[in-house]
Amino acid sequence: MTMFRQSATALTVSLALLATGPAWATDLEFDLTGRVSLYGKRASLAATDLVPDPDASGYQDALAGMSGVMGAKLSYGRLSLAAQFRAEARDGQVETFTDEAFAELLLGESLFVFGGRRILSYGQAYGLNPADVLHDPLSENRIFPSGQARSDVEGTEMIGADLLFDNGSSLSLIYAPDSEDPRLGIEEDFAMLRFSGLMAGGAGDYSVALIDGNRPGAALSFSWGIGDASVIYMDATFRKGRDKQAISGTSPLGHLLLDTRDTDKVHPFVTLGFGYTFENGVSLNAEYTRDAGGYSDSEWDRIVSALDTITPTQSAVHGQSLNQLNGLLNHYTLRQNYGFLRVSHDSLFGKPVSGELTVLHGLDDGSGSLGLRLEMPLGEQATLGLSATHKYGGENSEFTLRPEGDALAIYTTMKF
Amino acid sequence: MLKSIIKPALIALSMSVAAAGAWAADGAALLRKVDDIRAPGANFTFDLTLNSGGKTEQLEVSVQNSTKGLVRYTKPTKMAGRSILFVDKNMWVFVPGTRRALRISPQQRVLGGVSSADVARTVYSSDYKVVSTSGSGNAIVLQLAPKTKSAAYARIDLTVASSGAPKQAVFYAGGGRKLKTMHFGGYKSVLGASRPTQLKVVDHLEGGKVTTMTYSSFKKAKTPAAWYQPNNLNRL
Repeated sequence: MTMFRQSATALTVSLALLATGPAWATDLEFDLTGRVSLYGKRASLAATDLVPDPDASGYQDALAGMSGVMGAKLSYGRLSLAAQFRAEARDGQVETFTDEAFAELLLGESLFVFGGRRILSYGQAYGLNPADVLHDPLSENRIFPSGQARSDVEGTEMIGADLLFDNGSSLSLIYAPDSEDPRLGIEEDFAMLRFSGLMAGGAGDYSVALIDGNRPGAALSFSWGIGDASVIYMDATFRKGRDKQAISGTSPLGHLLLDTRDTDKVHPFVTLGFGYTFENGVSLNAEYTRDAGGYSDSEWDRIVSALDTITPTQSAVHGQSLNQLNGLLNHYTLRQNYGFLRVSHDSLFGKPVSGELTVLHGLDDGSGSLGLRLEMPLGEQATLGLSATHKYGGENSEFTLRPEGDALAIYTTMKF
Repeated sequence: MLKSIIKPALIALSMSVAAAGAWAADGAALLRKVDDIRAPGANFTFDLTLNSGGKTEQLEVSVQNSTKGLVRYTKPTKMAGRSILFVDKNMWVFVPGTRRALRISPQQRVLGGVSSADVARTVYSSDYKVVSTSGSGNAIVLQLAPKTKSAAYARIDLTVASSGAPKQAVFYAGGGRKLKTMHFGGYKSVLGASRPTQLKVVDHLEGGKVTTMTYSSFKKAKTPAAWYQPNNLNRL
């Protein structure tokens, strides 16, 4: 890791030196942006088999916090330096993050090379997005809308290049050695080669990517406009190895035994989506997701069975097994089949109030999460938002495993 | 006897076909004049201010080869960095926080009754053809039909002066439903021609709500090809 950081720093300095040559010297441009958000949240908490003591596990029924983000971009000739710094204050504690800090150099007319920590996002899906391979959805603060939450995360240290062609296609390469696999939480050497292009003769685009790392494979995305109001799209990955481990049995001492991650088998993770804009401006997105790496019914039954039998106060082994299960189930989604619906409008009731309704429904066990968000402007620079979440499902179903049930949050964000 | 009936009928038919052809040709020529007035060239930039219900948005628009459009939000501050890209029949929106360009349809709203296609598409003849012409003098009505299914509207009734100056456009949905009416005004001398600089858009689906589009700072300029790439929007 240290070696890579040194290499990234060396690359940044090299790029800076390269760009200061007289042939490229132009005006210095500096752009500084900032955003401050305040939020408060109330949630109903209930003990579950997975989390018998929500308080001890760090869950809070009332929460208030502040988030401050500062973005800076310095451009000089063909070189640009960009950074995003973030401070999160919660319960009297302040944490700071450098989400991004990278240098980028334009070589020739359309080749960009870059190095440093960077947030990159891929794909079209709004609900579950398999193509967003560098991102862990659990890292987002979902009090805020997706357009903010996706950005307020720590980026990945990488070097890379983007080659843009005049016909609208592009070729990208990124290499992120010693990075953390966002789904497994373990170190990996990640590399991705990606080609994106426009489909000839139509309103469509596609991306094909080859992935190397802990789970090598390929990613594929496409989106296609149909008529004046409809869009269909797909984001998919086909990678060797699962991001989850199933329970295979119990040791003689009572510990849970886990399956391997099926590292030789390719697991498709596919989202198919449809978008439609109504004449009155209402936008609708409906998506179906199939994640072959998710838990099957029989695997889920073993998890539920383990939860039913574990009594953490009974013995140290039971406590360890429960911790093991908490780690095992620490993923944004756990099962194989999902439906997602999003309905939004930017001007509800003819007023400058935007509204968004989302439903993520697990098709395997009928549990899900319903979200409602309303936002209105407060002057030129600020917005006031309200977000409500309702989780539903039977006991020990996917979306009721954790203590938080219904939640209501209010937030305000000021940009400058 | 038969000859005496058929011959005049054929002559009349051929004359009416020729007249219809001439009307269509005239209409197409007139539509090109409209486009020449609305767009000062194939490559240009301009600023656009949208006002609707007390809400104001400021945009910078760049057009390349008449078929590519890039719309960048500059105000309000909370919208800065957002952009819309139009390449032929493709349209994407980039919201800085999402870190990715998302495909949208031409119907997607920008503000009030104004759709992304209204902002990013500056010529009609790329997407529409003249199917009939009526009226005369300073009130010639061109009825436009889409060339492809990806055009934003099923029908446009465009009223123009004989000079080609657009005066009004009425936009219809597939079922013949009237969506909005655009009034062209604020004619000023811009880059060597008298061009409309203020469009009033009346949204019939929102009870006649009015959105004003004010154009300024027209410049003929060729912007870099790399700007018109969905994968490059995060750099702009």
